[in-house]
Amino acid sequence: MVYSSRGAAEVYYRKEPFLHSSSLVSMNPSQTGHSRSCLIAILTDIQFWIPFAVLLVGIVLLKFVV
Amino acid sequence: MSITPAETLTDRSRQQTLQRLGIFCGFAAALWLAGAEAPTKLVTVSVSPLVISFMMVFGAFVSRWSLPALLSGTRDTVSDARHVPHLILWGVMAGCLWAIGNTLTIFAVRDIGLSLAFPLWNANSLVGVLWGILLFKELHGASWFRKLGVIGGAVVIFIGALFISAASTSQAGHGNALRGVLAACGASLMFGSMYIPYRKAYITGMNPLTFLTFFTLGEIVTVTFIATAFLGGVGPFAHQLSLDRHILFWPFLGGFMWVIGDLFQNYATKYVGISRAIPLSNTNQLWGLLWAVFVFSELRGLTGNIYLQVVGGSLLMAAGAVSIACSSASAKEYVSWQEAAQREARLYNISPSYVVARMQGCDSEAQSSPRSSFGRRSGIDLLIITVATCIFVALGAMVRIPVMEIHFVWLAVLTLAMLLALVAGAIALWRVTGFN
Repeated sequence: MVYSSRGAAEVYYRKEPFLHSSSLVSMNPSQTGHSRSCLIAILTDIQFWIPFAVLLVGIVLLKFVV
Repeated sequence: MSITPAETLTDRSRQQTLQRLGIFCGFAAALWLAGAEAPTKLVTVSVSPLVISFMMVFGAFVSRWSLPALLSGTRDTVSDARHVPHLILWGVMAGCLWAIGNTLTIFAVRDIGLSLAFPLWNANSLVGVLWGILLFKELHGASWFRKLGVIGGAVVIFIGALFISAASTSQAGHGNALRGVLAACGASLMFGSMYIPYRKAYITGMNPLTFLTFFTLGEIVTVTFIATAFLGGVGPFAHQLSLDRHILFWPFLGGFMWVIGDLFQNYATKYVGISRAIPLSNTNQLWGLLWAVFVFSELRGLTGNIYLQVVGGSLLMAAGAVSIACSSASAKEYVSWQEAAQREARLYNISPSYVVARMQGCDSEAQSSPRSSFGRRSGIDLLIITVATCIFVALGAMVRIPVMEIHFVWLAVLTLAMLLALVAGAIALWRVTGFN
C-alpha cells in the first residue's frame, strides 16, 4: 500500500473505496453510525487492550507504592 | 503538497529522506528533552514533586494547544481528527500512561534514589522495541545486520545509561527498596507502552501536532486528579500552588520546552518507528549530563573512577545512537510497515489515500496543506495564542530567580545548540513534510 512496488500498489488501489470483506467495520453514512463503528473497531482491536491493561497495572501499582 | 499515491509508492529516495529526517528528529528530541529538565533544577527541593509534575504538564498542555494553533491552525487539527476519530481515544490513553508513569518515577526516586531508578525506567526503550516488533512489524524483513544495529544499539544505550546514572548520582534511598524497584519498573512499562498509541497514530497517518493535542488532555486530567488526590483535595492543592507561586514558572517553562522535544520525538516515531525513535531520544541523558556538568557545576571533586564511568557511559550511549542511526529501514521493512498500516486502514475503515499520503509526510488530497493554511488563523487560534501568552506573562511576573551558580557561557552554548536544532528541524520538517 504505502511503500510497495508500483504493481502491487496498483492492485491495492483498485480495491477502492477500501471496504474489504474482512473489515470489521461497516459503512454507515450517519455520524452516529460512524462513531459506533469506530467504537466497535476499537473494542475489537487487540492492540487497544494491551496499553489499556498496562494502564490498569499502573493504577494498581500506584495504589501500592503510595 | 498533494501527490498521487502512485507517485509516492515507488519513491525510494523519499523513504530515505524521511528516514534521515526521522533520525535527525530523534537526536533533536534528545537535545530538547534534556534542555527541558534544566528549568526544573532552579526549583528547590522543598517544593512537592507533585506540584512540579503538575506545572510541567500544565506547561506542556499550554504549549501543545498553542503550538499547533500557531503552526497550522486548529482547523487542521479538527480536520485531521475527523479522518481518524478513533485516534482521539488513543491519544488520551497515551497521555494517561505518561501521567501514571511520571508519578511512579517520583515514588521510585523517593524509595531507591535516582541512580537506581533512572536506568530502570530508561529500559522503556527495550519495552518499546519489543512492542514495535510484536505489534507493528518493525524490523520484520530487515537484514540481521540492521536488526543487530537497532536492538544492539538500544541495549548499548541502556548500558551507557546505567553507567552514567551510577556515576552522576549517589543519593541513597530512604524508603522501601522493593516498592521503589516496582515503581521504576512500572514507569518503564508505562513509558514503553505509551508508544503503542504513538505508533498506532502514525502508521495511520495522523499529524503529530493533532495527536499531541489529545495526548495533553489525558495527561492534564490524570495529573490533576493524581495531584489533588495525593495532596489531600482541591483546597490543599490550590493552597500548595499558591505557596509555591514564585517558582511555578520554572517547571511551566520546562513543560513548554519539553513539548518541542516531544514533538521531535513524535516525528521520529512517525518516520523511523518506535524501535529506533525511543533509543535515540533516550540519549537525552547524555545532553542532561552536559547541562549538569557545565552549566550547573555538578559532579565536581569526584574520583577518577567516577569520571571514567561518566566518559565510558557517554561513549556507549553515543555508539548505540550511531548504530541505530546507521540502521535505516530497508525496502523490505517498509513493506512490513505497510502491512501494519493496511491492518489499521481495514479495521478502522480509513481512506487509503489519506493513509498513504500522510504516512509519507504529505497531505491527503482532501485536505489543505499547512503551507496553504499558514497565515490563515481563525479567531479560536488567536484566542488560544493570546491566553497562552497571558499565562506565560503572569507566571513570569511572579517568578523569583534563585541564587545558584550558573555558568552563563555554557548556558548560551547549549541554548544555541538547541535553537540550531530547532531551526534546522523546523525547516527540514516544513520543506519535506509541511509538518505532516
